Parts: sequence; C-alpha cells; structure tokens
Amino acid sequence: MARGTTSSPDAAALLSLEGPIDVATVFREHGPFVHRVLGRLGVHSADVDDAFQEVFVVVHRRLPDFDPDASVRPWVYGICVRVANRYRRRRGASREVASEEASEPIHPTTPIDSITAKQAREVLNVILDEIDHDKRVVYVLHELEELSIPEVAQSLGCPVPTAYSRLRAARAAVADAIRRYRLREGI
Amino acid sequence: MSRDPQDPNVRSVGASSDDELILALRRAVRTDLPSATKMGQLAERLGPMMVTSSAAATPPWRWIGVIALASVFAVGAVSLRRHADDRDVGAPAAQGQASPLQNVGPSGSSLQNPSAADVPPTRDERREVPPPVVSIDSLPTASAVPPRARAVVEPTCAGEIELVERADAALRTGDPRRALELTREHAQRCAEGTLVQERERIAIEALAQLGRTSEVRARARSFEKRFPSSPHVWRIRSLAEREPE
Repeated sequence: MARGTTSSPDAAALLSLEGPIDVATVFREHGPFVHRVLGRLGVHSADVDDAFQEVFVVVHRRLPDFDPDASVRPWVYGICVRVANRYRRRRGASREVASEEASEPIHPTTPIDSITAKQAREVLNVILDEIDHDKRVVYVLHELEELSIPEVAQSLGCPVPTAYSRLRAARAAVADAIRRYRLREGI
Repeated sequence: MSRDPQDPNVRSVGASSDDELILALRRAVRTDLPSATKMGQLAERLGPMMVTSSAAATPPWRWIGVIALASVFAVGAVSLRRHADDRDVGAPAAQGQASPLQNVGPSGSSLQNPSAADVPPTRDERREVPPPVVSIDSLPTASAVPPRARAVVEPTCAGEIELVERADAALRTGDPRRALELTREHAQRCAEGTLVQERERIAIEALAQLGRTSEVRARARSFEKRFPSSPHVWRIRSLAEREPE
C-alpha cells in the first residue's frame, strides 16, 4: 500500500490545491484526522477538543512561515504530536486515558470482521497506553494514520532510520501488549 | 453483529491469532472519524481563524498596511484616470484595458500598467489637477510595496520571537514560574510588541498552572476585552472557567 501519497483520503485533495494554504483549508482537509490522532496519541478524551483548538492556533501562527512546496500532512501531524505531548504531561500518566476509556472487552465469539469502531478504538487505546510513548507515536502515525516512514520522520524531526527502528520496536511492543490484553480479558 | 458466530467459516475474535486481531482492530478504526456535526462545533470554536480563511493566515497588522496602501493606490489610480480623461477627451481610451483599479495588485503593478504609463505625469500638468486628488509623487514606488502577505512576521522588538518562544518552551517543559518571568520580561521590553497576544496566552496558562485563580480570571477578562477576536480567546476563557478545579 502506498502510504501517505494519493491513497490517503486527504492527499488527493491536497495535491489539487492551488494558491496559498490557509487555516480553513487545513481544517477542511485535515481537521477530522487531527481530532482523531490526538486521541490516539494519548490525549485525554476530555482534552481532545482543547488540544484540537491548540493545534489550529499553532497552524494559524506558523502558516505564514510554512514552505508552500512542503507537504502539509506531516507538518500538521508534527504539530499534533507536540500538542499531544503537552496535554499528556499536563494530565500526568498516560494510563489515565486507558483507565477512563476502557470498557467491556470484545466477546471471544464475536466474528473478527464484526468488531465495531468503538470497540476497536477502546482496545487499541488500552494497548497503546501500555507501550512507551515514543513507540506509540510512530505506531499511530504509521500503522493507524498511514503516514509513510519518511513522513513520520518529518513529523517527528528525526532521521528516517530512527523512525524505522522505532517502528520495529513499536510493533514488537504492540504484539506483547495485545498478548497481555488477551490473557487478561480471556479473549 | 450481522454474521453468525456459529458459522465455522467465520473467524471469531477468540480463535484469531494476535496478528489477525491487530489487523482487524486497525481495519475497524480506519474510517473512525468525528461526525460532521462535531466538525461543525470545532469549526465554531476556531471562529476567528476561520472567518476569512486566507486573511486569517496573515497577521492583522499587515492587513492594515495592505488596506491603507491599496486605498492610496486606488485614489492614485482614479486620479491618473481622471487626469488622462481630462487631457485626452475624444481620444480612444485605453483600448481593451480593464479599469486601473482592477490592475491594482499586491506587487504594485498598477503604477506600471499601460493606462497609467500613457499619462506622462509632468509637474506642469499636475498643477492643473484639482486639489482633492492625490499627487502621483505621494504614491509609493514599486520597491516600497510591502512584502507578500505570507512573508515572515518581523517583530517590532529585537529578540521578541526568541523571548516568547522561550516562555512557551518553559511552559511546555512544566516550568510555569520561569514562563511567567519571561512573559514579564517581554512586557517590559516589548510593551508594543507584535506577540502580545501570545505572551498573554502563555502568562495566563502559567498562572493557571500555578493555581493563581483570581489572576487568571482578571487577566483573561482583560485579554478578551483587548483582543475579542483573538484565536486564543476560547482557550483562555476555558482556562478561566476551569480554574476552580
């Protein structure tokens, strides 16, 4: 799968953009993804709207300096990562998210293709809360938000090999976390 | 659940491998996005930034300059047109050309367009023009036109950006006292700076983190009065309301 290129839901629209990018355009093209990724990055559900607003305040402030030839998506995600970090620190331990949002586990007899988005979101939050935050970020950006690894590296301001090595570690950590989760919940 | 869990062809969660489960979870959240209603609410919160989309990306003080300059161009262009009309009555007027006003652009090219260039602005002729119009000498030259709206914001106070960035960094690294000190320094050094709103936002956040409720509220009220359309208003208001916790 070609990640972060025209396969992403917003990329095609972005590629066709003409003229300067403004806040409304970023909101229209990326807003839903910004809101979603903040939760996935461990921002407490009660803080997601505030964090969302803060992301766009930063976008608004930084947009005049944004290179019009650069890709908007990793830039916006990079802002999301930094804002999410700030909110997580304010809330303290990231486990607070899991403890608040975890709910009924999925029943073992549920057909695997019938898992609802809500169930999946809750389980993923529990799993992601168990792994190291740096790994979580890479996992979320690449595996869930489907950014390419160079885009992930650009978002995080780290070298591409570092992003790759974090991804490998993140996948292993997620595999361990899902194993523990299943043992715990009996599924 | 539309599928029958007893169907042997249907893989259940309990029977799936860890990898299959992870893939299924990822598939399930792939299109999990906030509703249009939710996005509408969020757009409302961003109000001041979203009202005039392209204008929002440009600091307001720049637009004041741009509008003022555009007004000068407009008056100047009208003056030139009137001047030309007075002189060239009966002559074919600027064949196929748009109004000089339509040619006024951010690059100031209207001053060099053919309709304007066709009018030699000699001093003697200008004396014949009625006094209310603006003289061409008062119009800025192309080189005096301000940079494009997307140019980097130039602070009015040396080191202002660094100072505000340091305050913001102190806040982000959990040192609200230091952040507050730096905002005080900014207030002293850059009282009329271009990043006053930023400074106030940081100061209010720092006060909130320090639990100085009454100061948060007072400062938030003052901020809202002073900058009612600031993109920070919502955040600051929420801090002032949340503080009692």
